[in-house]
Amino acid sequence: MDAARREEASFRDPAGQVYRIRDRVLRSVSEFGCPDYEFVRDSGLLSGLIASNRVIGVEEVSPDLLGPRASSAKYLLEHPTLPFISHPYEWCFSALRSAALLQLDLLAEALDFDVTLSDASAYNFQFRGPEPIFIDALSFRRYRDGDYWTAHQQFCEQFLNPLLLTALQGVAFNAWFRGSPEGIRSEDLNSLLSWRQKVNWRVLTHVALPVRFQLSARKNTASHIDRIKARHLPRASFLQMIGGLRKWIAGLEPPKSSQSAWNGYAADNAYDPMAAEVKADFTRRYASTVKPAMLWDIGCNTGLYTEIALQAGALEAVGFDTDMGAVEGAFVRAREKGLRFLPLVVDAADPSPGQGWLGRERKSLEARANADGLLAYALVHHLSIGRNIPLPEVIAWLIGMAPQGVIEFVEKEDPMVRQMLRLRDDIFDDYRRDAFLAAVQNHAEIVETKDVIENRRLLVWYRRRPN
Amino acid sequence: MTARQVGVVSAAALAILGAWTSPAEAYLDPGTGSMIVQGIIGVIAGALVALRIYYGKIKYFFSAKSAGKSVEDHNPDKD
Repeated sequence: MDAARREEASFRDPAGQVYRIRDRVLRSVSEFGCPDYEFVRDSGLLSGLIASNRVIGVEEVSPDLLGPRASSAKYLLEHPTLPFISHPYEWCFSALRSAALLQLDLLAEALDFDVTLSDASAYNFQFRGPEPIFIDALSFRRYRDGDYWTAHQQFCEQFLNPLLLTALQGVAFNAWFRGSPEGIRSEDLNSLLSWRQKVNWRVLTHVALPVRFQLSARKNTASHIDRIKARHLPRASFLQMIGGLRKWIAGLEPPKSSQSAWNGYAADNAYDPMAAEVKADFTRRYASTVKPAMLWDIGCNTGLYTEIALQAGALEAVGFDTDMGAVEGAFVRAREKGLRFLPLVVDAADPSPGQGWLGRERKSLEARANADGLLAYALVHHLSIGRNIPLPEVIAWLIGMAPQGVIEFVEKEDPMVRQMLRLRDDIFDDYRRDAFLAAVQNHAEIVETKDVIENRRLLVWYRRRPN
Repeated sequence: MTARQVGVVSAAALAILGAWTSPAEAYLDPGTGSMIVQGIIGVIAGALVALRIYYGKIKYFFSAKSAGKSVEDHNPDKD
Protein backbone atom coordinates (compact mmCIF):
# COMPACT_ATOMS: atom_id res chain seq x y z
CA MET A 1 0.00 0.00 0.00
CA ASP A 2 1.23 3.52 -0.79
CA ALA A 3 2.16 5.54 2.26
CA ALA A 4 0.10 8.59 3.18
CA ARG A 5 2.06 11.83 2.97
CA ARG A 6 0.90 14.84 5.01
CA GLU A 7 0.41 17.99 2.96
CA GLU A 8 3.01 20.46 4.12
CA ALA A 9 0.51 23.34 4.28
CA SER A 10 -1.71 21.38 6.63
CA PHE A 11 -0.66 21.84 10.23
CA ARG A 12 -2.48 24.85 11.66
CA ASP A 13 -5.89 23.41 12.35
CA PRO A 14 -6.07 20.90 15.23
CA ALA A 15 -9.37 19.60 13.77
CA GLY A 16 -7.61 17.57 11.11
CA GLN A 17 -4.94 17.25 8.47
CA VAL A 18 -4.69 16.75 4.73
CA TYR A 19 -2.85 13.73 3.39
CA ARG A 20 -2.03 12.54 -0.08
CA ILE A 21 -1.79 8.98 -1.24
CA ARG A 22 -0.59 9.23 -4.83
CA ASP A 23 -3.31 11.33 -6.50
CA ARG A 24 -5.88 10.87 -3.75
CA VAL A 25 -6.59 13.78 -1.41
CA LEU A 26 -7.61 12.73 2.10
CA ARG A 27 -8.51 14.72 5.18
CA SER A 28 -8.36 13.27 8.66
CA VAL A 29 -10.73 14.41 11.39
CA SER A 30 -9.11 14.39 14.83
CA GLU A 31 -10.71 13.76 18.18
CA PHE A 32 -10.77 17.55 18.62
CA GLY A 33 -12.55 18.15 15.33
CA CYS A 34 -14.96 15.22 15.69
CA PRO A 35 -17.94 16.87 17.50
CA ASP A 36 -17.99 19.83 15.08
CA TYR A 37 -17.58 17.57 12.05
CA GLU A 38 -20.46 15.33 13.16
CA PHE A 39 -22.67 18.33 13.91
CA VAL A 40 -22.01 19.92 10.50
CA ARG A 41 -22.36 16.62 8.64
CA ASP A 42 -25.71 15.92 10.27
CA SER A 43 -26.96 19.51 9.84
CA GLY A 44 -27.59 18.95 6.12
CA LEU A 45 -25.67 22.11 5.18
CA LEU A 46 -22.87 20.52 3.17
CA SER A 47 -24.91 18.47 0.70
CA GLY A 48 -26.52 21.60 -0.77
CA LEU A 49 -23.24 23.48 -0.97
CA ILE A 50 -21.49 20.51 -2.60
CA ALA A 51 -24.33 19.99 -5.09
CA SER A 52 -24.08 23.64 -6.18
CA ASN A 53 -20.28 23.27 -6.69
CA ARG A 54 -19.45 25.84 -4.03
CA VAL A 55 -17.81 23.43 -1.60
CA ILE A 56 -15.60 20.55 -2.67
CA GLY A 57 -17.07 17.04 -2.42
CA VAL A 58 -16.57 15.02 0.75
CA GLU A 59 -16.80 11.26 1.11
CA GLU A 60 -16.09 9.26 4.25
CA VAL A 61 -13.57 6.47 3.71
CA SER A 62 -11.86 4.05 6.07
CA PRO A 63 -9.21 5.68 8.33
CA ASP A 64 -7.17 2.48 7.82
CA LEU A 65 -5.97 4.02 4.54
CA LEU A 66 -3.65 6.17 6.65
CA GLY A 67 -1.74 3.05 7.78
CA PRO A 68 0.14 3.62 11.04
CA ARG A 69 -1.41 7.08 11.36
CA ALA A 70 -4.95 5.68 11.29
CA SER A 71 -5.27 5.79 15.08
CA SER A 72 -5.06 9.62 15.07
CA ALA A 73 -8.12 9.94 12.83
CA LYS A 74 -11.71 9.52 14.01
CA TYR A 75 -12.85 9.94 10.43
CA LEU A 76 -11.11 10.04 7.07
CA LEU A 77 -12.63 12.10 4.27
CA GLU A 78 -11.76 11.95 0.60
CA HIS A 79 -12.00 14.96 -1.73
CA PRO A 80 -11.96 14.95 -5.52
CA THR A 81 -8.67 16.27 -6.94
CA LEU A 82 -8.48 19.73 -8.51
CA PRO A 83 -6.92 20.51 -11.89
CA PHE A 84 -4.47 23.04 -10.46
CA ILE A 85 -3.64 24.66 -7.12
CA SER A 86 -3.30 28.44 -7.33
CA HIS A 87 -2.43 30.98 -4.65
CA PRO A 88 -4.57 34.08 -3.93
CA TYR A 89 -1.74 36.47 -4.79
CA GLU A 90 -1.75 34.99 -8.29
CA TRP A 91 -5.42 35.87 -8.82
CA CYS A 92 -6.75 38.93 -10.56
CA PHE A 93 -9.10 41.39 -8.84
CA SER A 94 -12.30 39.71 -10.08
CA ALA A 95 -11.08 36.29 -8.96
CA LEU A 96 -10.28 37.45 -5.41
CA ARG A 97 -13.59 39.31 -5.30
CA SER A 98 -15.55 36.23 -6.36
CA ALA A 99 -13.81 34.14 -3.69
CA ALA A 100 -14.58 36.86 -1.09
CA LEU A 101 -18.26 36.86 -2.04
CA LEU A 102 -18.40 33.08 -1.87
CA GLN A 103 -16.82 33.16 1.59
CA LEU A 104 -19.55 35.54 2.79
CA ASP A 105 -22.34 33.57 1.09
CA LEU A 106 -21.14 30.32 2.68
CA LEU A 107 -21.08 31.98 6.08
CA ALA A 108 -24.56 33.49 5.72
CA GLU A 109 -26.04 30.18 4.54
CA ALA A 110 -24.21 28.22 7.22
CA LEU A 111 -25.72 30.37 9.98
CA ASP A 112 -29.18 29.14 8.95
CA PHE A 113 -27.98 25.66 9.90
CA ASP A 114 -26.37 26.86 13.15
CA VAL A 115 -22.98 26.45 11.54
CA THR A 116 -20.20 29.04 11.27
CA LEU A 117 -16.76 29.21 9.64
CA SER A 118 -13.79 29.14 11.99
CA ASP A 119 -11.44 30.95 9.62
CA ALA A 120 -11.44 33.03 6.47
CA SER A 121 -8.25 32.22 4.59
CA ALA A 122 -8.23 32.97 0.87
CA TYR A 123 -5.99 29.90 0.57
CA ASN A 124 -9.10 27.84 1.42
CA PHE A 125 -10.39 28.62 -2.06
CA GLN A 126 -9.39 27.13 -5.36
CA PHE A 127 -10.68 27.68 -8.87
CA ARG A 128 -12.16 25.27 -11.35
CA GLY A 129 -11.93 27.32 -14.51
CA PRO A 130 -13.02 30.79 -13.36
CA GLU A 131 -15.36 29.45 -10.64
CA PRO A 132 -14.23 29.51 -7.01
CA ILE A 133 -14.72 26.49 -4.79
CA PHE A 134 -14.21 26.20 -1.02
CA ILE A 135 -11.89 23.32 -0.14
CA ASP A 136 -11.64 23.23 3.65
CA ALA A 137 -14.54 21.14 4.94
CA LEU A 138 -13.25 21.34 8.52
CA SER A 139 -13.58 25.13 8.69
CA PHE A 140 -17.28 24.59 9.35
CA ARG A 141 -17.99 24.59 13.08
CA ARG A 142 -21.02 24.62 15.29
CA TYR A 143 -22.49 28.10 15.81
CA ARG A 144 -24.25 29.37 18.90
CA ASP A 145 -26.26 32.58 18.78
CA GLY A 146 -24.13 35.42 20.11
CA ASP A 147 -20.78 34.00 18.92
CA TYR A 148 -18.38 36.55 17.52
CA TRP A 149 -17.21 36.23 13.94
CA THR A 150 -13.72 35.16 14.99
CA ALA A 151 -12.48 35.22 11.41
CA HIS A 152 -13.48 38.84 10.72
CA GLN A 153 -9.94 40.18 11.01
CA GLN A 154 -8.60 37.38 8.83
CA PHE A 155 -11.32 38.05 6.27
CA CYS A 156 -10.22 41.68 6.15
CA GLU A 157 -6.54 40.83 5.75
CA GLN A 158 -7.03 38.08 3.18
CA PHE A 159 -9.86 39.52 1.10
CA LEU A 160 -11.11 42.99 1.94
CA ASN A 161 -7.82 44.86 2.34
CA PRO A 162 -6.20 43.58 -0.88
CA LEU A 163 -9.40 44.46 -2.78
CA LEU A 164 -9.51 47.92 -1.18
CA LEU A 165 -5.85 48.52 -1.97
CA THR A 166 -6.65 47.99 -5.64
CA ALA A 167 -10.11 49.58 -5.76
CA LEU A 168 -9.37 52.66 -3.63
CA GLN A 169 -5.66 53.22 -4.20
CA GLY A 170 -5.26 51.84 -7.72
CA VAL A 171 -2.41 49.51 -6.74
CA ALA A 172 -2.50 45.86 -7.84
CA PHE A 173 -2.50 43.79 -4.64
CA ASN A 174 -0.47 40.87 -6.04
CA ALA A 175 3.11 41.84 -5.13
CA TRP A 176 2.21 42.88 -1.58
CA PHE A 177 0.03 39.82 -1.01
CA ARG A 178 2.81 37.57 -2.30
CA GLY A 179 5.25 39.17 0.12
CA SER A 180 2.83 38.69 3.00
CA PRO A 181 1.00 35.34 2.91
CA GLU A 182 -1.08 36.28 5.97
CA GLY A 183 -2.58 39.07 3.89
CA ILE A 184 -2.48 42.86 3.98
CA ARG A 185 -2.63 44.06 7.57
CA SER A 186 -5.35 46.55 8.41
CA GLU A 187 -2.92 48.96 10.09
CA ASP A 188 -0.83 49.05 6.92
CA LEU A 189 -3.81 49.72 4.66
CA ASN A 190 -5.18 52.21 7.17
CA SER A 191 -2.03 54.32 7.03
CA LEU A 192 -2.35 54.57 3.24
CA LEU A 193 -5.92 55.86 3.31
CA SER A 194 -6.78 59.55 3.40
CA TRP A 195 -9.11 60.86 6.10
CA ARG A 196 -11.79 61.31 3.44
CA GLN A 197 -11.58 57.63 2.58
CA LYS A 198 -11.71 56.77 6.27
CA VAL A 199 -14.92 58.66 7.00
CA ASN A 200 -16.74 56.19 4.76
CA TRP A 201 -18.96 54.26 7.16
CA ARG A 202 -17.76 50.86 5.95
CA VAL A 203 -14.07 51.71 5.86
CA LEU A 204 -14.54 53.02 9.39
CA THR A 205 -16.22 49.82 10.62
CA HIS A 206 -13.95 47.26 8.97
CA VAL A 207 -10.58 49.02 8.75
CA ALA A 208 -10.08 52.25 10.67
CA LEU A 209 -11.93 51.50 13.93
CA PRO A 210 -10.58 47.96 14.43
CA VAL A 211 -7.06 49.39 13.98
CA ARG A 212 -7.78 52.19 16.45
CA PHE A 213 -9.23 49.79 19.03
CA GLN A 214 -6.44 47.29 18.52
CA LEU A 215 -3.92 50.01 19.37
CA SER A 216 -5.77 51.20 22.45
CA ALA A 217 -6.37 47.61 23.59
CA ARG A 218 -2.63 47.15 24.06
CA LYS A 219 -2.96 49.26 27.18
CA ASN A 220 -5.97 47.35 28.42
CA THR A 221 -5.96 45.27 31.54
CA ALA A 222 -6.97 41.63 31.65
CA SER A 223 -10.36 42.55 33.11
CA HIS A 224 -11.03 44.88 30.18
CA ILE A 225 -10.24 42.05 27.76
CA ASP A 226 -12.60 39.79 29.72
CA ARG A 227 -15.33 42.40 29.37
CA ILE A 228 -14.81 42.47 25.59
CA LYS A 229 -14.96 38.67 25.46
CA ALA A 230 -18.17 38.70 27.49
CA ARG A 231 -20.00 40.78 24.88
CA HIS A 232 -21.87 39.13 22.05
CA LEU A 233 -22.80 39.52 18.46
CA PRO A 234 -26.44 38.49 18.07
CA ARG A 235 -27.25 36.42 14.99
CA ALA A 236 -29.29 39.22 13.36
CA SER A 237 -26.37 41.67 13.71
CA PHE A 238 -23.95 39.04 12.42
CA LEU A 239 -26.11 38.52 9.31
CA GLN A 240 -26.45 42.24 8.80
CA MET A 241 -22.69 42.66 9.02
CA ILE A 242 -22.14 39.93 6.41
CA GLY A 243 -24.86 41.36 4.16
CA GLY A 244 -23.34 44.85 4.35
CA LEU A 245 -19.86 43.55 3.55
CA ARG A 246 -21.22 41.52 0.66
CA LYS A 247 -22.97 44.47 -0.91
CA TRP A 248 -19.88 46.62 -0.49
CA ILE A 249 -17.44 44.09 -1.97
CA ALA A 250 -19.75 43.22 -4.88
CA GLY A 251 -19.63 46.90 -5.85
CA LEU A 252 -15.81 47.23 -5.69
CA GLU A 253 -14.17 47.55 -9.10
CA PRO A 254 -10.56 47.73 -10.21
CA PRO A 255 -9.75 51.37 -11.08
CA LYS A 256 -10.34 52.46 -14.67
CA SER A 257 -6.75 53.71 -14.85
CA SER A 258 -5.55 50.13 -14.46
CA GLN A 259 -7.06 49.27 -17.83
CA SER A 260 -3.58 48.49 -19.00
CA ALA A 261 -1.80 49.00 -22.26
CA TRP A 262 -2.12 45.25 -22.70
CA ASN A 263 -5.86 45.22 -22.55
CA GLY A 264 -7.06 45.07 -26.10
CA TYR A 265 -3.52 44.24 -27.20
CA ALA A 266 -4.73 41.17 -29.01
CA ALA A 267 -7.35 43.21 -30.85
CA ASP A 268 -5.18 46.07 -32.12
CA ASN A 269 -1.86 44.33 -32.31
CA ALA A 270 0.84 45.25 -34.75
CA TYR A 271 -0.07 42.48 -37.15
CA ASP A 272 -2.93 42.13 -39.53
CA PRO A 273 -6.05 39.94 -39.30
CA MET A 274 -4.55 37.49 -41.81
CA ALA A 275 -1.62 36.87 -39.46
CA ALA A 276 -3.99 36.41 -36.54
CA GLU A 277 -5.88 33.81 -38.54
CA VAL A 278 -2.65 31.94 -39.34
CA LYS A 279 -1.90 31.83 -35.61
CA ALA A 280 -5.41 30.69 -34.76
CA ASP A 281 -5.24 27.92 -37.38
CA PHE A 282 -1.91 26.67 -36.10
CA THR A 283 -3.24 26.70 -32.53
CA ARG A 284 -6.28 24.68 -33.59
CA ARG A 285 -4.17 22.12 -35.43
CA TYR A 286 -1.86 21.69 -32.45
CA ALA A 287 -4.63 21.46 -29.83
CA SER A 288 -6.82 19.08 -31.82
CA THR A 289 -3.86 16.75 -32.47
CA VAL A 290 -2.27 16.77 -29.00
CA LYS A 291 -5.48 17.27 -26.95
CA PRO A 292 -3.63 18.40 -23.81
CA ALA A 293 -5.36 17.49 -20.55
CA MET A 294 -3.74 20.59 -18.99
CA LEU A 295 -2.56 23.38 -21.23
CA TRP A 296 -0.37 26.15 -19.86
CA ASP A 297 -0.51 29.39 -21.80
CA ILE A 298 2.48 31.46 -20.71
CA GLY A 299 1.97 35.09 -21.65
CA CYS A 300 -1.73 34.45 -22.18
CA ASN A 301 -2.74 38.13 -22.43
CA THR A 302 -6.55 38.19 -22.58
CA GLY A 303 -6.75 34.49 -23.43
CA LEU A 304 -7.73 34.70 -27.12
CA TYR A 305 -5.57 31.75 -28.17
CA THR A 306 -6.24 29.83 -24.97
CA GLU A 307 -9.91 29.93 -25.89
CA ILE A 308 -9.14 28.69 -29.40
CA ALA A 309 -7.04 25.81 -28.00
CA LEU A 310 -9.80 24.86 -25.55
CA GLN A 311 -12.39 24.82 -28.31
CA ALA A 312 -10.09 22.71 -30.48
CA GLY A 313 -9.46 19.94 -27.95
CA ALA A 314 -7.50 21.07 -24.88
CA LEU A 315 -9.43 19.95 -21.77
CA GLU A 316 -8.29 22.45 -19.19
CA ALA A 317 -6.05 25.52 -19.26
CA VAL A 318 -4.14 27.76 -16.88
CA GLY A 319 -2.81 31.04 -18.25
CA PHE A 320 -0.09 33.32 -16.94
CA ASP A 321 0.57 36.97 -17.55
CA THR A 322 2.38 39.68 -15.61
CA ASP A 323 -0.30 42.26 -16.12
CA MET A 324 -3.41 42.34 -13.97
CA GLY A 325 -5.40 44.20 -16.62
CA ALA A 326 -4.72 41.47 -19.18
CA VAL A 327 -5.49 38.71 -16.69
CA GLU A 328 -8.66 40.54 -15.68
CA GLY A 329 -9.72 40.51 -19.35
CA ALA A 330 -8.90 36.80 -19.63
CA PHE A 331 -10.87 36.04 -16.46
CA VAL A 332 -13.92 37.85 -17.82
CA ARG A 333 -13.56 35.94 -21.10
CA ALA A 334 -13.39 32.60 -19.24
CA ARG A 335 -16.47 33.50 -17.16
CA GLU A 336 -18.58 34.80 -20.01
CA LYS A 337 -17.79 31.87 -22.29
CA GLY A 338 -17.79 29.19 -19.59
CA LEU A 339 -14.21 28.11 -20.39
CA ARG A 340 -12.24 25.73 -18.19
CA PHE A 341 -9.56 28.35 -18.06
CA LEU A 342 -7.92 29.99 -15.05
CA PRO A 343 -5.74 33.01 -15.89
CA LEU A 344 -3.21 34.03 -13.23
CA VAL A 345 -0.93 36.99 -12.54
CA VAL A 346 2.55 35.45 -12.69
CA ASP A 347 5.81 36.83 -14.06
CA ALA A 348 7.60 34.15 -16.08
CA ALA A 349 10.93 35.75 -15.16
CA ASP A 350 10.10 35.48 -11.47
CA PRO A 351 7.67 32.60 -10.92
CA SER A 352 5.99 32.11 -7.53
CA PRO A 353 8.48 30.75 -4.96
CA GLY A 354 7.90 28.25 -2.16
CA GLN A 355 6.74 30.19 0.90
CA GLY A 356 5.54 30.01 4.47
CA TRP A 357 6.79 27.60 7.12
CA LEU A 358 10.01 25.88 5.99
CA GLY A 359 9.41 27.48 2.59
CA ARG A 360 7.08 24.61 1.77
CA GLU A 361 3.70 25.69 3.10
CA ARG A 362 2.75 27.40 -0.17
CA LYS A 363 4.27 25.53 -3.06
CA SER A 364 6.31 27.16 -5.78
CA LEU A 365 4.94 27.30 -9.31
CA GLU A 366 7.56 24.76 -10.34
CA ALA A 367 6.33 22.30 -7.70
CA ARG A 368 2.76 22.73 -8.99
CA ALA A 369 3.67 22.32 -12.67
CA ASN A 370 1.39 19.76 -14.29
CA ALA A 371 1.08 20.81 -17.91
CA ASP A 372 1.14 18.39 -20.82
CA GLY A 373 0.65 21.13 -23.37
CA LEU A 374 2.12 24.61 -23.77
CA LEU A 375 1.51 27.83 -25.66
CA ALA A 376 4.11 30.59 -25.44
CA TYR A 377 3.08 33.32 -27.86
CA ALA A 378 4.87 36.65 -28.06
CA LEU A 379 6.76 35.78 -24.89
CA VAL A 380 10.36 34.88 -25.76
CA HIS A 381 11.39 38.44 -26.69
CA HIS A 382 10.01 39.78 -23.39
CA LEU A 383 12.28 37.40 -21.48
CA SER A 384 15.31 37.43 -23.77
CA ILE A 385 15.40 41.11 -24.69
CA GLY A 386 13.17 42.70 -22.05
CA ARG A 387 14.80 40.86 -19.15
CA ASN A 388 18.19 39.87 -20.60
CA ILE A 389 17.68 36.13 -20.00
CA PRO A 390 19.86 34.16 -22.44
CA LEU A 391 17.76 32.74 -25.29
CA PRO A 392 18.85 29.08 -24.79
CA GLU A 393 17.79 29.28 -21.12
CA VAL A 394 14.40 30.67 -21.99
CA ILE A 395 13.83 27.87 -24.51
CA ALA A 396 15.07 25.15 -22.11
CA TRP A 397 12.71 26.44 -19.42
CA LEU A 398 9.71 26.53 -21.75
CA ILE A 399 10.31 23.07 -23.20
CA GLY A 400 10.82 21.74 -19.68
CA MET A 401 7.25 22.83 -18.87
CA ALA A 402 5.40 20.45 -21.17
CA PRO A 403 6.22 17.57 -23.51
CA GLN A 404 4.57 19.26 -26.51
CA GLY A 405 3.81 22.85 -27.27
CA VAL A 406 4.01 25.85 -29.56
CA ILE A 407 6.52 28.67 -29.09
CA GLU A 408 6.47 31.90 -31.07
CA PHE A 409 9.68 33.65 -32.06
CA VAL A 410 9.40 37.37 -32.80
CA GLU A 411 12.32 38.67 -34.88
CA LYS A 412 14.17 41.94 -34.29
CA GLU A 413 12.54 43.34 -37.44
CA ASP A 414 9.11 43.13 -35.83
CA PRO A 415 7.79 46.53 -34.65
CA MET A 416 7.19 45.16 -31.11
CA VAL A 417 10.85 44.20 -30.69
CA ARG A 418 12.04 47.34 -32.44
CA GLN A 419 10.10 49.38 -29.92
CA MET A 420 11.72 47.49 -27.06
CA LEU A 421 15.17 48.28 -28.47
CA ARG A 422 14.45 51.89 -29.32
CA LEU A 423 15.92 53.30 -26.14
CA ARG A 424 18.63 50.76 -25.47
CA ASP A 425 21.71 49.32 -27.10
CA ASP A 426 21.20 46.15 -29.07
CA ILE A 427 23.40 43.79 -27.05
CA PHE A 428 21.48 40.76 -28.29
CA ASP A 429 23.59 39.36 -31.11
CA ASP A 430 22.44 35.84 -30.29
CA TYR A 431 18.80 36.73 -30.65
CA ARG A 432 18.29 35.26 -34.14
CA ARG A 433 15.96 32.78 -35.80
CA ASP A 434 18.72 30.19 -36.39
CA ALA A 435 19.86 30.41 -32.75
CA PHE A 436 16.26 30.02 -31.62
CA LEU A 437 15.72 26.92 -33.77
CA ALA A 438 19.02 25.43 -32.60
CA ALA A 439 17.99 25.98 -28.98
CA VAL A 440 14.68 24.22 -29.57
CA GLN A 441 16.37 21.30 -31.31
CA ASN A 442 18.69 20.90 -28.36
CA HIS A 443 15.76 19.55 -26.33
CA ALA A 444 13.05 18.64 -28.80
CA GLU A 445 12.07 17.63 -32.28
CA ILE A 446 10.34 20.17 -34.43
CA VAL A 447 6.95 18.86 -35.53
CA GLU A 448 5.96 21.83 -37.67
CA THR A 449 6.86 25.47 -38.23
CA LYS A 450 4.86 28.29 -39.69
CA ASP A 451 5.58 31.91 -40.53
CA VAL A 452 2.89 34.09 -39.03
CA ILE A 453 4.41 37.00 -40.92
CA GLU A 454 7.25 36.34 -43.34
CA ASN A 455 10.65 36.94 -41.65
CA ARG A 456 9.05 38.55 -38.64
CA ARG A 457 7.15 36.00 -36.59
CA LEU A 458 7.62 32.24 -36.52
CA LEU A 459 5.61 29.53 -34.76
CA VAL A 460 7.38 26.31 -33.77
CA TRP A 461 5.53 23.20 -32.63
CA TYR A 462 7.98 21.08 -30.64
CA ARG A 463 7.89 17.57 -29.22
CA ARG A 464 10.31 17.09 -26.33
CA ARG A 465 12.83 14.27 -26.57
CA PRO A 466 12.73 11.85 -23.66
CA ASN A 467 15.86 12.28 -21.52
CA MET B 1 -43.38 49.03 28.68
CA THR B 2 -41.16 51.92 29.82
CA ALA B 3 -37.70 52.63 28.51
CA ARG B 4 -36.37 51.23 31.75
CA GLN B 5 -38.29 48.01 31.22
CA VAL B 6 -36.97 47.74 27.62
CA GLY B 7 -33.45 48.13 28.97
CA VAL B 8 -34.02 45.40 31.55
CA VAL B 9 -35.47 43.08 28.91
CA SER B 10 -32.60 43.58 26.50
CA ALA B 11 -30.06 43.10 29.29
CA ALA B 12 -31.83 39.88 30.22
CA ALA B 13 -31.83 38.77 26.58
CA LEU B 14 -28.08 39.38 26.37
CA ALA B 15 -27.54 37.47 29.61
CA ILE B 16 -29.47 34.50 28.22
CA LEU B 17 -27.47 34.65 24.98
CA GLY B 18 -24.34 34.75 27.12
CA ALA B 19 -25.25 31.47 28.77
CA TRP B 20 -25.37 29.81 25.34
CA THR B 21 -22.15 31.26 24.05
CA SER B 22 -19.12 29.02 23.71
CA PRO B 23 -15.54 30.29 23.93
CA ALA B 24 -14.22 31.69 20.66
CA GLU B 25 -12.39 29.33 18.31
CA ALA B 26 -9.04 28.83 19.90
CA TYR B 27 -6.63 28.41 17.02
CA LEU B 28 -7.19 31.71 15.25
CA ASP B 29 -6.47 34.97 17.04
CA PRO B 30 -9.54 37.03 16.26
CA GLY B 31 -7.84 40.36 17.00
CA THR B 32 -8.96 42.58 19.84
CA GLY B 33 -9.84 45.49 17.53
CA SER B 34 -12.20 43.38 15.44
CA MET B 35 -13.83 41.95 18.58
CA ILE B 36 -14.43 45.38 20.09
CA VAL B 37 -16.08 46.58 16.87
CA GLN B 38 -18.28 43.48 16.77
CA GLY B 39 -19.17 43.99 20.43
CA ILE B 40 -20.21 47.55 19.62
CA ILE B 41 -22.21 46.39 16.58
CA GLY B 42 -23.95 43.91 18.87
CA VAL B 43 -24.77 46.61 21.44
CA ILE B 44 -25.94 49.08 18.79
CA ALA B 45 -28.12 46.42 17.17
CA GLY B 46 -29.58 45.58 20.61
CA ALA B 47 -30.25 49.26 21.26
CA LEU B 48 -31.87 49.67 17.85
CA VAL B 49 -34.20 46.76 18.56
CA ALA B 50 -35.09 48.33 21.93
CA LEU B 51 -35.62 51.72 20.26
CA ARG B 52 -37.83 50.17 17.62
CA ILE B 53 -40.01 48.55 20.25
CA TYR B 54 -40.19 51.81 22.21
CA TYR B 55 -40.92 53.85 19.07
CA GLY B 56 -43.65 51.37 18.17
CA LYS B 57 -45.22 51.95 21.58
CA ILE B 58 -45.18 55.74 21.14
CA LYS B 59 -46.60 55.47 17.62
CA TYR B 60 -49.31 53.14 18.84
CA PHE B 61 -50.11 55.47 21.73
CA PHE B 62 -50.57 58.50 19.46
CA SER B 63 -52.28 56.69 16.60
CA ALA B 64 -54.72 55.11 19.06
CA LYS B 65 -55.40 58.56 20.53
CA SER B 66 -55.96 60.25 17.16
CA ALA B 67 -58.10 57.33 15.99
CA GLY B 68 -60.23 57.79 19.13
CA LYS B 69 -60.51 61.53 18.45
CA SER B 70 -61.68 61.05 14.89
CA VAL B 71 -64.36 58.69 16.13
CA GLU B 72 -65.52 61.37 18.58
CA ASP B 73 -65.52 64.02 15.82
CA HIS B 74 -67.93 62.00 13.83
CA ASN B 75 -70.21 61.09 16.68
CA PRO B 76 -73.70 61.90 15.40
CA ASP B 77 -74.99 62.06 19.02
CA LYS B 78 -73.05 65.32 19.51
CA ASP B 79 -75.00 67.20 16.87
